[in-house]
Amino acid sequence: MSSDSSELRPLPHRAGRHASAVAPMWATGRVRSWTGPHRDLRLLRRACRWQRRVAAFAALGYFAVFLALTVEVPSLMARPAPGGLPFGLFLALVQLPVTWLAVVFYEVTARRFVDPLARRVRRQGREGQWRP
Amino acid sequence: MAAVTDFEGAAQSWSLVAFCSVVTLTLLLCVITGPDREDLDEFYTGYRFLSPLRNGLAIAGDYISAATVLTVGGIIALCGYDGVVLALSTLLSLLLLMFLLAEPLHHTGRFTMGDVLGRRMPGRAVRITACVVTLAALVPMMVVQLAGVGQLLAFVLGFDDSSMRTGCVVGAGALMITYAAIGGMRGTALIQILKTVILLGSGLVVAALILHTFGWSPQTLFQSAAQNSGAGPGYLRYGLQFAGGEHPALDMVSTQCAIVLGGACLPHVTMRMYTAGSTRQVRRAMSWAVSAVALFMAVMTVVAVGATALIGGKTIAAADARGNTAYLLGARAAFGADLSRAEGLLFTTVTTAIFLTLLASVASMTLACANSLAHDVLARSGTAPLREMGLARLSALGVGVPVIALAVLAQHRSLQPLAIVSFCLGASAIAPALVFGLFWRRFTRAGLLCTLIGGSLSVLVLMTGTNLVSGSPQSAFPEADFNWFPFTTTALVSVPAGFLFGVLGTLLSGRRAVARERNRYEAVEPVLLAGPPYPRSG
Repeated sequence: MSSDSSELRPLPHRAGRHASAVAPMWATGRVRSWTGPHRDLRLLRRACRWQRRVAAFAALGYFAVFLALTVEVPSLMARPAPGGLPFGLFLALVQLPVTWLAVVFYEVTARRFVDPLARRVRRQGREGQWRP
Repeated sequence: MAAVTDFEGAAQSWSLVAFCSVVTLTLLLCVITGPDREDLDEFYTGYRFLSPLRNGLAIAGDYISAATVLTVGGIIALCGYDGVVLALSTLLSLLLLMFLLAEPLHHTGRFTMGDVLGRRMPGRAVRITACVVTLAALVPMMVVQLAGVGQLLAFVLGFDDSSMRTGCVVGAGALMITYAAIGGMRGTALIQILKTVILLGSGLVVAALILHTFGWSPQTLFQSAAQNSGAGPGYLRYGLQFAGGEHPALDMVSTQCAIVLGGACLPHVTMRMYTAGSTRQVRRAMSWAVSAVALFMAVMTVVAVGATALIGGKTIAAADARGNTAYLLGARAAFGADLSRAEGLLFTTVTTAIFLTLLASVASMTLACANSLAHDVLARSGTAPLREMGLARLSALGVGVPVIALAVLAQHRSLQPLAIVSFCLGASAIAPALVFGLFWRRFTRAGLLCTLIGGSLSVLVLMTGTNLVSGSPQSAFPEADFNWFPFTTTALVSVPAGFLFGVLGTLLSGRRAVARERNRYEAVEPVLLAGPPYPRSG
């Protein structure tokens, strides 16, 4: 969704920055480094992005495939599935427990991978490392 | 059969008593829990006092509107499989809100959607447009629900008098304004929690009774529903809901798209994201909300399918052509022909839950509209908190009175197009604006305005030509036929249009604007990803 140019171009200078109202980083005397606050933000950005992408694509993907099969291959969805219900209805009902699993997965990954980084970035914000 | 669908006698008097006590109790709750200091934070967010579980139940309460319960219940009962898919997309919408938007919204927003968008792109034009889109998305939904109160009371209490119905609509409207103006966020949150608990509790009992009748076998339940539905095995396959349309497959995809993208983006749901204290709390609250909604969707499927299995599709369609009363009929049928006192009480709980759902959802929507009007448009940066709160209360009145008038005028027409307009506006204007605004670093102010205005206009223009507005006996204007867009919803065209307007607006605003926005985004990014350095809880 967002294109992150900072990872591709670690150099501080960027065309078009001179016109901006906010002072560019090189003018404030700070250099983008691979450690410290910028590194933490970069890691946090990457973690958030991966988590959101995987979770949203998994949820949307399942539903999109289900919907496409429903509309395009109705004969497959009408076949009997384990339990005696038609396959389509079976897939639909399975979605409820899958939703709960997705929620648990999201909570666990967020706590494990995103929260510690977010805490660090917030602390740096309190210490004034973001706004000179 | 007649006895099972009858609401005569004891059940009616029980219901009347229960409705009156619910009104008294909720008003009392609002007065007691309303903001006790003249503090803006307290009025708009309830001081973030809710624990994640309670907040989650309030979010679920906001999300399960009466339109969802009655309409989706009806479609499940009459169309089987198609209705189940609709229930699933409703659930998926909230799940996507949790995964994609909940935390960034909580981090950047303060009271309204205007705050979220205005953080990156300050300016009155953005706030005013956000407020107009909020009103455009929620007012149609409120009209649908208020008109539904008249229908529900007429059905449960058994009167046909038109003036009585109008009286019910006006009375419920007055109540919703009172809840929003006196209770603020805290009062409406408590009503929503109460509603979710009653709705889920009574629904679980009814669903258990229905499953017990069919030997706890979903297969038997669905097979007997298919037999009694009049559609045979077609009830368990796709195709009944859009059978009359020209492009059933595209119509189905379009409808699901509108629900999945639009359902959870509506401002009365997103406003609850601002009421949690911390990132972790908002995540946990959303987990509870998704779980509660998933449980309710399962309950609703069992009750609605049970209604068809027990009393047959014809009886349901005879009570209401769209099957809006299917949930109530299913609950009534679950108790058998003769009600014992305990069963009567339980059934009354179900009708009360629906009544409370209607009241609570309009109250929350009124509050969302009033907050947006007061905070984004009427209040300036120097306005005193006391005055802004007064403005918010007046706005509740200012939004509520026209809505009541519209509901009274429109109550005898088919209101389905209005509900669809709400979802399509959510999917075509609000969803692209929030997604781009929160995640696209080059997104500019012009792009935002283009998305909001262009997306809304495309929905409103396309909607006039859909199947639901004219051209069929069940449409809003059955006597006319100007059906030039042969679909039920506009999402197929308006959602891509909404996103495209945003991209075009951004590309056309020039490199300077893009560079400026990118810098602004970089300044906001740590807060957006990690949350504010100092938590705002009071």
